[in-house]
Amino acid sequence: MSTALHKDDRVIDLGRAHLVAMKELCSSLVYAALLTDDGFEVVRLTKSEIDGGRYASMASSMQALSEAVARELRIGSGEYTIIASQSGHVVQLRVPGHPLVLSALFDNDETLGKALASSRQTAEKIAAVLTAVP
Amino acid sequence: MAEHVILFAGPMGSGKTTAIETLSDIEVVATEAANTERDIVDKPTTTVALDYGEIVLGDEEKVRLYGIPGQRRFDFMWSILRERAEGMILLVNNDAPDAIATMIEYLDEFGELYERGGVVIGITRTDISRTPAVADYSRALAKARPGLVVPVLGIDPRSAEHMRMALMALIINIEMRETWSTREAETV
Amino acid sequence: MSTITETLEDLISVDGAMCAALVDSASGMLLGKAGTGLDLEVAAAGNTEVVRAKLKTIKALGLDDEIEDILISLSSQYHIIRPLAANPEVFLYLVLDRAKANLALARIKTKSGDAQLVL
Repeated sequence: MSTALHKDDRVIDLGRAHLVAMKELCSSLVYAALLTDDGFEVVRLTKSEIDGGRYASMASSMQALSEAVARELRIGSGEYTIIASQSGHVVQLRVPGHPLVLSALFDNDETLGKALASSRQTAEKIAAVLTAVP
Repeated sequence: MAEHVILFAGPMGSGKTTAIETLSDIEVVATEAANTERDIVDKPTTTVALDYGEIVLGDEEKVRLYGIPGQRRFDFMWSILRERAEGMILLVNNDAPDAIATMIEYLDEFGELYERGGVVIGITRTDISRTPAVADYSRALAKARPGLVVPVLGIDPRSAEHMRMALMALIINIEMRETWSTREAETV
Repeated sequence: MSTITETLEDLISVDGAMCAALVDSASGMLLGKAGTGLDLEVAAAGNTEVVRAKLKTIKALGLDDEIEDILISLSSQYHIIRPLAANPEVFLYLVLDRAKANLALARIKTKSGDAQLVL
């Protein structure tokens, strides 16, 4: 039986490396987490006041609801889920082809476009590495 | 048409999603994700946000059916959905470790639904595990929470007949309570 | 008077042009794009930061002035960024293959694109 993703050291390490890289490219990144579809945190980056386990559960619920809405409206598979608030944006998207979600919080120092682009790039890079070496 | 909102609660693997699928006239809106806890409950997927279904009983009652995710780490969804419901069908799978204690735990967690409209308890997977007996649950409940009037039934969430019966029992309970409280308000 | 699509298609018709975009610098997002060659979503967001940084610097220097265009020379590409005269929050972005492009012509083309574009 294969190891669950959130307990697999290889996945945790590569996840962390990519989140660190994301932070380097995007100074407005405040918090980021890689989580399983059913709400377990694989790895997170910074902002220690956030309860990572609880956040991972909530992010997975949000992802599932977004995907349910997109299915219901027949608008194709989801791209981003965005929560735009006064002092920051939460951007979330699936790691393509894997039961994993990338969820990130950005402050308003940079634009939403930057948040979306860097989230997408990071998710795609993680997907590529995971697919390459199963 | 009278409208009701019913919550399906209970631990992971007790059959909530199945029960709603059995009852629902519409295609159920589900939020299933790949289950990484196969060692705890061996099923491929699990609900991570909610289930939503609808059923029209007779030609007078439309019932909205909401299912919670069973795991406690999704209790923020419990708060959100609990607020919307008038009553609850609590499903507990007979093969759960400490099933009776689990029943009481969920009953306490969703106690306000008992106050608001009523609760019906369904014990599932009695074919997988023959004990405890349904009567054991009733006895334990009477002892632990005297004063609560809660029907406890053995049911199969895949059976339309069982599920309709459980649902109707709950709706009747809710409507009776509404009638009593209207009457009380009138006599005052 | 040209539409966004017409303007961008016209821009990439210039010698050596690879791709072009119209970007809203408030959100860092694309209003339109044409051509291929690099990830324009990333470019739009990144270049928005370039424009913002430059505007900040201009302000810090106490210059009462505007950006006409920004020209960036990479070893194999030219990037031209031009905030619209009529609407400086929006900018045109043109990417050229340095070996094939005539920079002067590309700048003129970008300037006339700006003049003709009606949002």
